[in-house]
Amino acid sequence: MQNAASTPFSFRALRRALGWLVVGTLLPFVAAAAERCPDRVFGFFETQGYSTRKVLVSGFWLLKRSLMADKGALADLEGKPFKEEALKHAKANLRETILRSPSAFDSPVGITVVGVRLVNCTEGGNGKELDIEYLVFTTKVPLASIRTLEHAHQEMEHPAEALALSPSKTRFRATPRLAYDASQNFLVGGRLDARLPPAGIGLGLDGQGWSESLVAGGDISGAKESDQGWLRKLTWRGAFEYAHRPADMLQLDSGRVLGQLSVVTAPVGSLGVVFRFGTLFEGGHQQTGLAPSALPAGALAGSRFANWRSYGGISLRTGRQAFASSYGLLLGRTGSGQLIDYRKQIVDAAYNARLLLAPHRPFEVDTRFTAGFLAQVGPTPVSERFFGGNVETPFMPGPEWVIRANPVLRGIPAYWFQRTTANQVPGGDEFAVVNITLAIPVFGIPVIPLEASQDPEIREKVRGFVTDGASGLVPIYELDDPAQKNLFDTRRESFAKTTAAMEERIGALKPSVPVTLQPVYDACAEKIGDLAANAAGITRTTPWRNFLKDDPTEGYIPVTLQLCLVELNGPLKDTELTRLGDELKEHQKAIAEQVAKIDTNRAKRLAQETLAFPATVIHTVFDEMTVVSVSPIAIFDAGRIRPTAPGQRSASYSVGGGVRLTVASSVTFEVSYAWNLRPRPWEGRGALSLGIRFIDLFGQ
Amino acid sequence: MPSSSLKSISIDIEVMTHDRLRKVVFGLDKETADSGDVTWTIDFKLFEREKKTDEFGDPLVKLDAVVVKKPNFDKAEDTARTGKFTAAQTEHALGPASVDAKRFKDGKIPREKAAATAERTIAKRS
Repeated sequence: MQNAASTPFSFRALRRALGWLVVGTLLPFVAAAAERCPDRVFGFFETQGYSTRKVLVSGFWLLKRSLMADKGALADLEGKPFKEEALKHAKANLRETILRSPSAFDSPVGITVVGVRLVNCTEGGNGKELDIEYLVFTTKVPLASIRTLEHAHQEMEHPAEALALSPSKTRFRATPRLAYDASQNFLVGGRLDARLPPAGIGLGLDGQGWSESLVAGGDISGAKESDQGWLRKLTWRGAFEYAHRPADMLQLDSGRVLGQLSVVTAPVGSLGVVFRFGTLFEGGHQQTGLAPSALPAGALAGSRFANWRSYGGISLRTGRQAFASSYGLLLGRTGSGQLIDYRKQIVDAAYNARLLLAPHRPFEVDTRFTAGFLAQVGPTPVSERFFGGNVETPFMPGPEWVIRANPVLRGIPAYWFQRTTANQVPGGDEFAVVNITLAIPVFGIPVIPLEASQDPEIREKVRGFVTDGASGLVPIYELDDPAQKNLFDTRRESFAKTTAAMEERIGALKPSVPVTLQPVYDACAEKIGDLAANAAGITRTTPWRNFLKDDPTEGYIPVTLQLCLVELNGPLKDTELTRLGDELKEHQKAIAEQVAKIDTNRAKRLAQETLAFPATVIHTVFDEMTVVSVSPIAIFDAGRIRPTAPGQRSASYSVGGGVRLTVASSVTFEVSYAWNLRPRPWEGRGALSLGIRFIDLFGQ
Repeated sequence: MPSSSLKSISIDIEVMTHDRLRKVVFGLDKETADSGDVTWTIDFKLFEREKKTDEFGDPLVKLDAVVVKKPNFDKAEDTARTGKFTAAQTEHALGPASVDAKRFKDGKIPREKAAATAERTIAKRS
C-alpha cells in the first residue's frame, strides 16, 4: 500500500519544468506586429522597385504551419524584386493547396477566404523592401455531433479537427500522455490511432502506466454521420483492455473484451436538443488481490463477469452554454446461475458555460453532478463497487460521449474514496458528487490572429457565410427527395433521347431554313444544343427544377419550346419537329408533376438546421477562442459515499486550485492540488494531480 | 473597426452534393485599384469521386480566370459578401455550369461559352 503523503515529489523540479513548458510553448507564437504599407495597388510597389523580404501566412496556427511547411511558390517570392503577377500566382497556389488538403470531415458547404496585403515597407541599406502577408481563413460545417457537450470541449482543445480550421491529417496520430497522481504515481503512455482509408475504420492502441499502475488496450471503431433523417450519427467500437490499478488496500485488476454501438439523433426543437442512445456488451475477468475469506458472502474478490450496459441521454448547446445529461444501466452476472447478479445505475449531468469578460478571455465554469447506485442481487465482484478519487472512470469507452461512472473528488488520490470505516468492504454501493471548476484566462493568443479576424472584409464574408440564410443549401437537400430520384430513374433516358433527336432534327432542317428565319434558327439551335447537353449530362445530383425555368439565357425547356416550336416551326411546319416538340411537352409536364411533389419545406428546414448552429461557433472562433491560453483554475468538490456505519459521516469535500495551459490542437497541461477538507485516516490530506497530453504529436 | 487593407481577396465557396460524390468549388477573386475600381474573376472547379471514402484529388474540370462583366459586379459582391449561393445559383452551378465545364473539357464547346455559363451562375442571384 502506498501513502499519498509520503510520495516523493520535487516541487522545484515541477516549477522548473512548468517554466520551460510555458516558454517553449509560447515562443512559436511570439511575432512582431506588422505595419501596413501605403494604401496603393500592387503595381505601385512593383514600379517603385521594391523587393520581397519575407512571405507571411496569417491564419489559424496549424493551417499557417502546414501552408508554410510546403512553402513552394511562396518561398520563391522571397529575396526577389516584387512582382504583382508572382504574388497572384502564389495566391492561386495557396488556394489550390487548401482545397486539395484532406478535410477533417465532409460538409455540405464550406468557405475559404484568402486576402493579401503588403506590410513592413522599408527603405534602407538593402533598398526598398516589403513583406507579403496572406491572411487565410477556412472552415466547414460539422453535423449533428457539433451539438454535444463533448464537441464543445473538442473545439477548445482541437479546433483544427473539430471545426476543420486547418487541413487535417487523419490517417495516423500519436498522442503521448504524462500524468501523476499520488495513488498511481507517474503514468507515462499515450495513444496511437490509424484510420484505414476504404471505410474510415479506426484502429487504436492505448496504454499508460509505470511502477504502480498499468492500463493497456486496443480498439477498432467506425462512425457514420448523416445530415438527414432522425438518425444522424452511428458509432461502433470493439475493444480489449487490461487494467491494473492500485486502490488503497487492494488492486483493481481486470481484463475485458467489449462491443459497443451508440447513436445520435437529429436535433429536436428550437434548442436543437440531440438524443443519444447506446449499448455495450463486455465480458472478462476481474480480481482484487483480497483474500476471499476476508470478504462477506456475496462479495467476490475475483471472478469472471459479463455485463450489458445500456445508456441514453440528451445534449444541447446554446450560445456559450452546453448541457448534457445521461443515464446508464449496467446488468451483470458472474456465472452464479442467476440471470442477473448485480445492477448498477449511473446518473451524470454536466453544464458548462463561458462568460466573455474581455475579448479572448472567457471565464469558464464547468459543473458536473454524478450519482451511482449498485444493487447486489447475487455474487458481485468487488471491482464493480464504486471507487472514487481524483481520476474519472468512464461508464463506456470513447471520446464522443463521456458518462462519468465514479465519484470524482480531487482532494483524494485515485480510487481511495471508497469507504467510510476502516473495516468495511472496499468500494461504495452508492454515491453522489458535485464538481465545480472555474477557469479565468490570464493570458491568451487568439486562435485566428487579429489581423485576419478583425479585417472588416474577411469578417464580413465569414459572418455572411453563417448568418445570411441557407437558401443555397435547399437544392442540395432537394436532391435527396423521392420525386427527384423518381425523375432520375424513370425520365432521364427518354428525356435525353428526345432532346438529342430534336437537336438532330434541327440540324437536318438547316438547309431548308429561309434567310428571314436564320436568327431564330440560330437561337433555337443553340438552346436545343444546350438542352440536349444538359439532358445528356443528368446525374443523380442534377436539380430537375432547372429544366422548367423560363430563363431566356439558359437551354431549358420553355425557351427551347418557344424558339424551336413556336417561332421556328410555326412558319416551317415540320411534322417530325412537331412530333418531337410534343414529346418534349410531355416531358415538361411529367417533370413539373414530380417537381411539384418535392418537399421543399423539408429541404428548407434541413438547410436552416445545418447552418443555424455554426453561426454561434464561428463567432466563438473569431472572438473567443485562443490558440494558447493560460488559466488559473479553482476547484470545489462535494460528495458522499455509502454504506456508512452508524455514527460515521458519508460526506467529503475538496477545495483547491491549479493552472491549465492549452495550446489548441497541440497540447494540454494541467497541474492542480486539492485539499481534502475532512480527511479520513487512510485518505491523506490532499492530492496533487498533473497531466500533460499531446493532442497530435506530429501536428498537421 | 479599421478599414480593410486588402487589395486582393478571394472567396472559395464549396458546395457538396448529399451523396458526397460531387463537389463544386466556385471561387470569386476581387482586386481593388487605387481608384477604388474593382475587378472580379471566377475560378470554377468540379470535383467528382467514385466513393465517398476516396479523396477528391484533382478537379475533373476547371475554368480559371473567368472575367466577370460589369453588370454582374453587384451580384458578385453580394455572393462574396455572404460567402454562399442562393438556391438558383446552387442549381445553376450543379446544372448548366457543371455540364458546360465538362463539355469544354471534352472539346465540344469553346472556352468562351463555358466561361459565359460559369459567369451566369453569378447572374442567377436575384
